Amino acid sequence: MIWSYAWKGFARRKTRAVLAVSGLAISIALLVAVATISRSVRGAVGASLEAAGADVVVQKVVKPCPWAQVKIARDLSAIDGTVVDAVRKVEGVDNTTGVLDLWAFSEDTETGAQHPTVVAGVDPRKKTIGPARIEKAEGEQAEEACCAITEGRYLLATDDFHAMITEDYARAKNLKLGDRFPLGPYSFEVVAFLDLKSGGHISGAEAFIPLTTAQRMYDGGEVVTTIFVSLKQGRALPKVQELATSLIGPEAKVTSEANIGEATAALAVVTQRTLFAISAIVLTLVLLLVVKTALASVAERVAEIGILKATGWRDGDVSRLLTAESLYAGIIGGIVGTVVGIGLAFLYGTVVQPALPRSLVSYPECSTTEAPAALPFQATPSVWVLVAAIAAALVIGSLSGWLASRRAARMLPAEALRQL
Amino acid sequence: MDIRIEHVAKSYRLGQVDVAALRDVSLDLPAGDFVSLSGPSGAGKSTLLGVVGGLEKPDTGKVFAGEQDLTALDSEGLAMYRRHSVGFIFQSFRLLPALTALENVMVPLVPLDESEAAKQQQVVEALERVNIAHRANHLPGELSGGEQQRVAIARAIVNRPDVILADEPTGELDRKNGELIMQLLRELNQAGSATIIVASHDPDVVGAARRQVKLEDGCVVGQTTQEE
Repeated sequence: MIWSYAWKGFARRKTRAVLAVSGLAISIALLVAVATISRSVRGAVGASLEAAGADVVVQKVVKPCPWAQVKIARDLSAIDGTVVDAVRKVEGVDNTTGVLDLWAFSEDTETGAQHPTVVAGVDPRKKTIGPARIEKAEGEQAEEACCAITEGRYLLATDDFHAMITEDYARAKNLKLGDRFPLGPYSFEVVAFLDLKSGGHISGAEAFIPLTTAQRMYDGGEVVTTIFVSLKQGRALPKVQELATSLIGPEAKVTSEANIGEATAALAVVTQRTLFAISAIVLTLVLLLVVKTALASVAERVAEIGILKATGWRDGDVSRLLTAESLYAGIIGGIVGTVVGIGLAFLYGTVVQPALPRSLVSYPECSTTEAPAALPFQATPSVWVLVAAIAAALVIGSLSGWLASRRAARMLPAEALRQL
Repeated sequence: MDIRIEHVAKSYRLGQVDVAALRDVSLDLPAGDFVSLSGPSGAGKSTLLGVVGGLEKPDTGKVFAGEQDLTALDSEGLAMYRRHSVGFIFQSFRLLPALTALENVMVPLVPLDESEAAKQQQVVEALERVNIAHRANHLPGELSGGEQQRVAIARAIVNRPDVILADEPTGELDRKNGELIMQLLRELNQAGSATIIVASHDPDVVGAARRQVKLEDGCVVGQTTQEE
């Protein structure tokens, strides 16, 4: 019955209840929102790795080279093809593939200007890893593959000047299966239309051609720009990083799920460590606020506590009452804060569109089709974050109630009544 | 329940000075008695009520409620004594403003291990005894002074106490309501075996008691008993 009595007292002291609940709710909402956004962005970015069937992407990043009709995309640089094989031999590595990201400039028939097409040279034998992955590897539990052939066929090892193009590019260029189109000074035949499913595509391109053909176009030997690596064991990652740095040099850029979020232009820059720091600061401030409110409540309620004790309430009964009231504030604050926090995370997804880091997107600003860099943001709160948020609210509520009840228990009934 | 007070002294610290509130007070109050404590402000009336009600302990002396030595009880024991044996009525009613009349009367029963229905029944009976049941769902702010004091009396009797202690129960009431409250206390005294001790400096209230104890400067300076 003390619980129902506590509820009445709590609910009818509206101003104090609103203050206690809103203080807790705001802080919990902040924590849940930041944690959920961070997790969701990280998840979306991680999904782009999974879509390519990879755990790690190795690149070499340099200052952009001068213009050429066929040039390496963005600020990437050529990596010797032997590195792909070397990485594959690292213990714990499951599979690798090298991709050559190129921009091929061709004359626009209408304006006469040189216009780039984003090209990815891919190994036709590697359908389970890379930017044109259409199949899952055997036993793979990962996300759906990034791409699907809607018409035509996948590249063959015997293909040369053949290309799979995205549906968007086909529409923009009005191309059909069997048509020929220019990539730099070369003419390619369309053998397939690819549907790049929604989400960010690492080394995504408008045209996918055989790797050997791309290497001939670039005329730089057997080189690649991006190496996709899938791991059997997570502990192989440091070895891959070490090897990549030793073979490629200081410009080596190794991207994995662990660091991909940090480079994403969104709240995902909030790393796990930052998140814990923010959480600790916010919770400490809220704890101080709630404790101060609870102690002030005891000071204001000397009369009530005196009457309760005069009518036979034991110190323990008064303690239970005050703790119950604080717990109500904690439960309601925790629930309201959690709901508001998830709402804020959803709102964030509609206002801010997180995107893949620029280094992982091969498209220039003036590409024919839109770069597949936007990440499908879906606010998915972690069960653990929700449990932790409610638990934090309850702990704060209990602690403040306990401190308040200790002060109330020390109050002598006659003295409390005399203060009226 | 007989109340026996033996050589009780009590003083308070006021700044740097000890102020004696009670000095060597001894009284025997038989069960069912209706006693008034009179005297000027600072005579020790409220302190004596507090000592008898187990709200505070004397510095020296003994207080017995029946066979129980209140001075030997710890805070838990005193709380249980107040819970089962004592009902308090205060000058300014001391109702909790956020609770209805019914809920205020329920307050002493809240920690008890009884069914909700049994408690509810006790509360309704107490409200009916003081003729305020029709205002059970009103907040104190919606009640007149007389009605509030009735609710306070209902709260004092809801646990069926052996001793009812009233500190200036008519102090904030007009004459008519004051008389009604005293009439009610007399009826309660006659209807049961509860000892009623009223502290007041109002001659009408003092005169309503069967036994009148006069205090001055912390000492009993006179006792008179009215014949029935």
